[in-house]
Amino acid sequence: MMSEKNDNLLSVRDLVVEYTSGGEIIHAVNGVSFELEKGKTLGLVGETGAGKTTIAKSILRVLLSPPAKVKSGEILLEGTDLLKVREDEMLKIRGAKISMIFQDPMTALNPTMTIGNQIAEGIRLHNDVSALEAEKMAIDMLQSVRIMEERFHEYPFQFSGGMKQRVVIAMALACKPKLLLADEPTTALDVTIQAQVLDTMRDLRNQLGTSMILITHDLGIVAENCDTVAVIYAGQIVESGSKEDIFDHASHPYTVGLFHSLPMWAMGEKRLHPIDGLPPDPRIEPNGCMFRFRCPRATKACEATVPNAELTSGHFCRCIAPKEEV
Amino acid sequence: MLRYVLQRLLMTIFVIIAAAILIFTVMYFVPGDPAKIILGPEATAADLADVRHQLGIDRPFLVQLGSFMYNTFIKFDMGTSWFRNTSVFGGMLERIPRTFLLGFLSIVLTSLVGIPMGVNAATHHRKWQDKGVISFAMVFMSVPEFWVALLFIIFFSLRLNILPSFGIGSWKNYVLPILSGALAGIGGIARYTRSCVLEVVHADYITTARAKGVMERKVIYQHMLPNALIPVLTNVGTSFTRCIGGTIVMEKIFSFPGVGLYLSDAIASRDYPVIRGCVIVIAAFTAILMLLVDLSYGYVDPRIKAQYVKQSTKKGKIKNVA
Amino acid sequence: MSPNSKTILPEKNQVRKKRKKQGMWSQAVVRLFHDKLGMVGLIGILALVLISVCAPLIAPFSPTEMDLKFINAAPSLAHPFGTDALGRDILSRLIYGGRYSLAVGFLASVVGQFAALILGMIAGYAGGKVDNAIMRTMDVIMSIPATMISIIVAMTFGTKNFIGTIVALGLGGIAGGVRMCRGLVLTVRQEEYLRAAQAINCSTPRILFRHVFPNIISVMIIGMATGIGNMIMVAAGLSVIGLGIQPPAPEWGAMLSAGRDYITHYPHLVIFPGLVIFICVFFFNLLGDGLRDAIDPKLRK
Repeated sequence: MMSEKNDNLLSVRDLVVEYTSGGEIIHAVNGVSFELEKGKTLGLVGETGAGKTTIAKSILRVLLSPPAKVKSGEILLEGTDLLKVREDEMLKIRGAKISMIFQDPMTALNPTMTIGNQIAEGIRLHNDVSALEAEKMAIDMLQSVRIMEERFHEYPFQFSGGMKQRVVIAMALACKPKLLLADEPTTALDVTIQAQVLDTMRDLRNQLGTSMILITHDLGIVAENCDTVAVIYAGQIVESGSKEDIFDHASHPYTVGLFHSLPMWAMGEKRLHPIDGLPPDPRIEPNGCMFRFRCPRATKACEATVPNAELTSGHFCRCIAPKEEV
Repeated sequence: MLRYVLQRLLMTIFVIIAAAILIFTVMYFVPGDPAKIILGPEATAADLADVRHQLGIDRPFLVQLGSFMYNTFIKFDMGTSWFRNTSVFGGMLERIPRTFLLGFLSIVLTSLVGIPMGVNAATHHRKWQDKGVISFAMVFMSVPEFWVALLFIIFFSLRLNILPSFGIGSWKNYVLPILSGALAGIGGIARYTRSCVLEVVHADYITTARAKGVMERKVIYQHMLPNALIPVLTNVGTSFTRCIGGTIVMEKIFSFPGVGLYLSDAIASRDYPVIRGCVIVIAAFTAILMLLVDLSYGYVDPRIKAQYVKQSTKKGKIKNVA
Repeated sequence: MSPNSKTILPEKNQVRKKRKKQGMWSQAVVRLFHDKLGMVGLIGILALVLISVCAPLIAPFSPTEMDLKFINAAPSLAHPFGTDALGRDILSRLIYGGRYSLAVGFLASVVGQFAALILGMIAGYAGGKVDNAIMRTMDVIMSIPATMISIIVAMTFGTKNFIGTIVALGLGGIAGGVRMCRGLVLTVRQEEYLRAAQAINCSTPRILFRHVFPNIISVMIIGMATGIGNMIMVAAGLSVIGLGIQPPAPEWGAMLSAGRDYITHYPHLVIFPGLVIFICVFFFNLLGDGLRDAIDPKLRK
């Protein structure tokens, strides 16, 4: 365990994040813990509203507060707790050590700034370089995401969605960060563009040795890009482990349900099996297993706190009756 | 770019001419015989006919309109005031700079106070600064300008006796009209700025900027404001036109000899040439102002700029990079 | 189905029932009732309306009764707001004056919004030449400040005409309203549900009134609420330059402008009418804001 820990770039422990909205508390993230090794990719999988983006934004401390508030937990980046770091030091970490790619490239770029300047801005902030050098570095970055140098002085509205997302990627990786948080980087794009963008990301990451947290609801993307996977439901990790653990030995009924609702896993069958019901109201104080309302295996015992049991080495499952998928 | 400017310019000229036709037509149908207005109720029929002929108002409507347009826009002659016997155009030339200065200083004051207020409110959303600005803006917007003007006169001129309440002569004459004219505008601009900035505060690209490690102050000044203030610019433009409209009442209260007072005196005495002249001048001023706002809009917003630089894009771009 | 999934069912139904009851308007009303400032505005306006309607019961004096012993008297117990140049009780005149001012503001706002609504809907829906003609006209009108339009129209109708004043005020701000309304129609037109309505052969008037109108009306209501306050202010401004409603009618603006002559020695003649206008406009602005938040929560944030 100890030797493993030294390889951990990031560990998140018992992270709790709440939003206040109109006097009501919304429990967005309820005690999430996970580790990420250097150079590896963790896939955070879950439905919309499960708290994935909130986790990523709390790591970078860019949650708008109010309404959001990190109630408790630790976020350790190479041993330093990011939640305790002073804001001016955090400025040096954002964009330099950790950077983020956002879901919608259409709105993620400043419409009144040339894309070149947007990339160069981050470079100048974190490297001691002149404006001209920063521009050169930004042009290199642009070229590495296969955008021509001539477009340096153009504005975001002159780019297509896929190209914008490549610009965002160039921006995020411009300072060679150790950790990249990719929040559904391809959801807003056409299927044909998705692969292209993911390839660009993978190539660059391999070059730079950047670790990544990939947030998605697309299990196909997880299968192709991730080393480890954490499945999130209602602000909790319900199952985590290596890609093989999750894909071949899914044990939590929610994970199983997710796979059943996918066309490619149901290929042999006549119809898909969607999960009944809806995610629980996030205003309800979390108690017991939050999936019990939709779970076919739920019993009275599920109302009590469910421990995060280690099934095999590194494969955790938060269920009192984990079942090996056949 | 040039084509766009020309197009917009043509539109402006059309608007000014149309406004002139409109005001002439409306005035033509205003009840009451101009000759009777000039000569008074006891004039004889022969005298009336004589004056009518002199004024040219015994001709058919279209002829009158034609000669009016010809005189106004070709000869720059707006006729002679019926009661002052002076050239309307000359009267205008004398008064326009005063009114313009008054409006301009009011709008400068409005923007200098209102925009920072709005930005401050939005960046401290829901905190006391925000609530304070909202309340102030609400009060400012609800205060009738002319009442504030009168209160200022009561307080500064009559009680403290430090500022003059009427006339023109020194810079002091401008202080109270500017202050009272700016008040309502400040409320409006502050509110508008606040909502524009708030719209941008939650934008994704602001989070992107923060995620890059940009300092909060820079996030506000380099990322939020350039985007948020583009629409505010138009608002300042329209506020300016409202200001000019407001000067009619304001100049009356302060007996400030600008276009506004000229107009309200003319309305009281039914001095048609002066009324027409004032309306055309104010309309032309507004139209030109809107033209300038539109053009500057294109200059600050790359999306619009690109639309009218399109033709020369390719060449220009390569040059830029090289 | 396990027994557990059944226990969850009633809860789901409850949620569904609760949602069904709330229509767009009742939701808006509920939101408005929860908005403190908006309610202050609404209650304030209702109070002002009530006071002017019941003026004879409330006013201590008749608005036209002259008391030559008290000319320009400063506020006292008998005359809380003092008396004017003809010895009339200012408080009573203000109470009666609400009838004029509120009616002028309300009617002018309704006239203006209604005209803007019709023109805007025609322009937006018809498109092409009609649209062009209407909008170019509006461009011309827009190049003349609203106050001046009102002045010109007021002159055309003659100065001492109640209906003329209302039309003049209403038409003053029409260009902005037409533009906004047309913009809304164009936005709504692009929405899918309108295509759907056209696809099933809805007639044009039906499309206009069943589909386009409800989307626009909420915006117009907000515009009307703030418009009333604004109109009261402009009406008073017109009185100041000698147009609009004239003394001896106890209209607030007319009272204020009549008091201007005595400002040197009797400031209370202008202070109180102005104060009442201010309070009234303030209430309407509060209500307008509250309505906007209530009707269009998207704008809130």
